Amino acid sequence: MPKVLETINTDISIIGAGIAGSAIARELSKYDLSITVIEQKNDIGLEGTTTNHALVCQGADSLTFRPGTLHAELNIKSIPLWPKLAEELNFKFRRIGGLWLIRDNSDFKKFQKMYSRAFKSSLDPKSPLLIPEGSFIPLKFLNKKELKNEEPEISDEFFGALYDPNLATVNPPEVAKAYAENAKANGTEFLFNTKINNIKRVSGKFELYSDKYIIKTDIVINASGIEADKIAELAKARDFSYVPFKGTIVEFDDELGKMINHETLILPRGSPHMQLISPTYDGKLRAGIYLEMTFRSNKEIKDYAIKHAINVSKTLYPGLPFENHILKSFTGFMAMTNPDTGWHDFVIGIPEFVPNWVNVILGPAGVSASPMLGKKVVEILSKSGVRFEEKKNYQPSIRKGVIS
Amino acid sequence: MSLNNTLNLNLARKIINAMISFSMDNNMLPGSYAVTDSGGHVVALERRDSALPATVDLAIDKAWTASVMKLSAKVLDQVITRGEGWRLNVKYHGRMTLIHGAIPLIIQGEVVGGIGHSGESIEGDEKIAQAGFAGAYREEEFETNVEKGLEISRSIAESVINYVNSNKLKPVAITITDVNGWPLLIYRMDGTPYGFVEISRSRAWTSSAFKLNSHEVTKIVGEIIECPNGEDSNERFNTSQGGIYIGNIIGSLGVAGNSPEEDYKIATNSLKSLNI
Ligand SMILES: Cc1cc2nc3c(=O)[nH]c(=O)nc-3n(C[C@H](O)[C@H](O)[C@H](O)COP(=O)(O)OP(=O)(O)OC[C@H]3O[C@@H](n4cnc5c(N)ncnc54)[C@H](O)[C@@H]3O)c2cc1C
Repeated sequence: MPKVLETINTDISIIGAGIAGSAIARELSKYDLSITVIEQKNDIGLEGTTTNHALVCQGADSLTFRPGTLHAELNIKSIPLWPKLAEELNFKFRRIGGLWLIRDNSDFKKFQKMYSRAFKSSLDPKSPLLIPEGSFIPLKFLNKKELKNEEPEISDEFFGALYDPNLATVNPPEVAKAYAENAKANGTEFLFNTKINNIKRVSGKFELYSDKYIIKTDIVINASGIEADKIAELAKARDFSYVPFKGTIVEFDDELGKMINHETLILPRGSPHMQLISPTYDGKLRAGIYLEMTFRSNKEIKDYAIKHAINVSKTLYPGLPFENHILKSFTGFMAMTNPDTGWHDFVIGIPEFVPNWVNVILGPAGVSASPMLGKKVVEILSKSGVRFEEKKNYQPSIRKGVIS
Repeated sequence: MSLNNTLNLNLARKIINAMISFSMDNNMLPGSYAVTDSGGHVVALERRDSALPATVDLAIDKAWTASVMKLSAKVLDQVITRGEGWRLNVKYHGRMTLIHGAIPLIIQGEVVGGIGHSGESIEGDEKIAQAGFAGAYREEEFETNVEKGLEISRSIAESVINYVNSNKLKPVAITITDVNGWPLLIYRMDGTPYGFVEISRSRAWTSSAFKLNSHEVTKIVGEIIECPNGEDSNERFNTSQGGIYIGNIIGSLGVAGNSPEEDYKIATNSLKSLNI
C-alpha cells in the first residue's frame, strides 16, 4: 500500500536552508505570513554555505563586481547591514582586511583604477555603487615597508599592496543558523530531512512532495543552491542557466593562523584559479581556490587542486611550513551564470510563466550578499502583487533552536 | 564522474536537447539549434517543425562564429567590435555573427566547439544558447517532446547510425530536409570527415527539390554541368547516390561518408527497417 503523506498548509515555502533560505526566512518572518523552510539535510547550511572561503566582501571586493548586476548591487547594499546584523544576532564578525599584492606596474595600474572606483563609490552620491557614509574606510596603498609591517612573513617579491581595511570573515553556517533561529522564534517552521522530489501545480497552489509530506503552498522560494536548476524544472520554472563551478580549498591550523593577519591575494594571470589565503573567524587559514567547471557529483578532492593552494600560500609567504599544518581540504560548488564570459550575476526573480515562484541563485559572494536577499525577495513579490503586512511583534534578536 | 573534453555527436545532441527543453518550458518560439566543432563544422543541428527555414543557417553561423573566434557573440559585439562588427564581415561575407545566442563550448578550460541558436529575440537566443552550455554539464538526459517532423527525423537518423554501426561501415553525415529542402536535422557521426556534411545536405536538398532520389535526377533534367549551388540560399545540387526522397511529413534523407553506392544502400536499408 502506498504510504499516506502528511499534508502541511503554508503561505510561503522556502526550499533549502542554506544562507539564502535562512536569510530570506528571517526577513519574511517580519510579516504576517505562515512560512515553512524545507531542507533535505538534518541541519542548517551544510552545503554551499559550509564549503566556502568564509569571506564577507566589504569594500574592494564588492567594487570589482560588474556594475549594473544584482551581484554588485546586493553585495554593496549589504555592506552597512553586516555590523548591525552581527550585533542583533550575536555572531562573530571579524574584520581582517585585505591586501592586494603588487608585483609590478601592471598590478599597480589595475589597483589604481579600483582605488579610484572605491573612492568615487564612497563619496559620489550619484554613483550606482554608492557605499553609505561611515560604513567604509577608504582604501590605501602600502609601500614595501608598510606591507611588511602588516604582514611580517610576506615575500620580498612584492613591492607594496592595495589595502582594504574593510574585508571581514564570519562562520557562514553559524550566520545561517542565526538567521534561521531568529526566523523560528518569530514563527517560521522548519522541516529537516525533507527532500523535495516532485512539484505539482493544482488550482493556483503549489504542491511540494517529499516522501513524508505534501506541502501545499501559495508561494515558493527556490533557494536550493546548486540544485536550484532541477528544483525549478520540476515546476517548469527554470528561466535561467548555470554551470557548477567546483572550488577546492585547503585549511591550515591555528599555529600558522597566528602568522597571517589579513586576506592576502594576487590577481591570477592567464589562469582561472583564484590565488588567496585568508584567516578564518576562528584563527585558522583558508587558501585556494582551484576552480573548475564540472558535474556537481564530482566532489573528489584532486591532488593538483591541493597543490595549487599550497603553491599560492608559499608564493605569498615563502618562509612558512604550510605542508605540515594542513587541517583538511574540501570542495564546494557554486552556480555560475554566463560561464562563457565570466559575467556572472545572481538570479532573483519570478519566471514569466510561473507566478508566485521566486528563484534565488547566488554563486560567488552569496554569503556576503545575504543581508539583502530577503529584502529583494519582498520587493519582487510586492511588485508582482503580493501584499505584505508587517507583524507588530517581530523581534530582531530573539532566537529559538530550529531542530526539534 | 567528470566531463570528457571531446565534443562528440552524443554530447552535441544532449546540448540541443537541453536547449529545446528550456525553450519549451519557457514558451519560447521554436528555432534552430546548432553545435559545431572547434573548426566551426557542424556536429549536429536540429530545427523544430514550425521554425523559420532561414534559422537553420543563422544557427549554424552563430555556432561557427563562437567556435572560430573562441568567443561569444555578446563579447564580439559589446567588447571587441563595439559597432564596427561589419569589418569582420568584409572578409567573412556576413558569416561572422554578432547577434547574441552564439557561445563557445568550454570544457576543461578549452574551447571545444560552438553553440548557436536562432529563432527568438536576441535575449531569447542568448538564454537558449546558455541553456545548451549548461546542458553539457548535466549528467542526466533531457526528455523533449518534439513535433512530428523532428521526431521522425530523429528516428531515421538513429536508424542510419544503427545500420552503419552494426554493419561496421565508415561513419556518415546525415541530413534530413523538409519538403522544401530545408534541413530539419543534420548529424555527423563521430569520425566522419566534415566534408561529408555538405555532401549529405546537398543530396537531401536535391532529392527534395526534384521529388526524386538524388542520382535519378539526371534522368529527367539531363546531365547538368552548371547549376545553382549557393550555400547562402540553400540551393545545392548533387546528383550522386545517397539522397532518398521520402515526401511524407519530411522531405528527404541524405547520407554521405562511404562510396555513393554504399551511402545509397545505407539510406534505403535504414528507411526500410522503419517501414518508410
Ligand atoms: C569554493 C567556494 C568559495 C566561496 N567563497 C565565498 C566567500 O568567501 N564569501 C562569500 O560570500 N561567498 C562565497 N562562496 C559562495 C557561497 O558559498 C554561496 O553563494 C552560498 O553559500 C550559497 O548559499 P545557498 O543558500 O544559495 O546554497 P546552499 O548553502 O548550498 O543551500 C542550499 C540548500 O538547499 C538544500 N536542498 C537542495 N536540494 C534540495 C531538495 N530537493 N529538497 C530540500 N532541500 C534541498 C541543500 O541541502 C542546501 O542546504 C563560495 C563558494 C564556493 C563554492
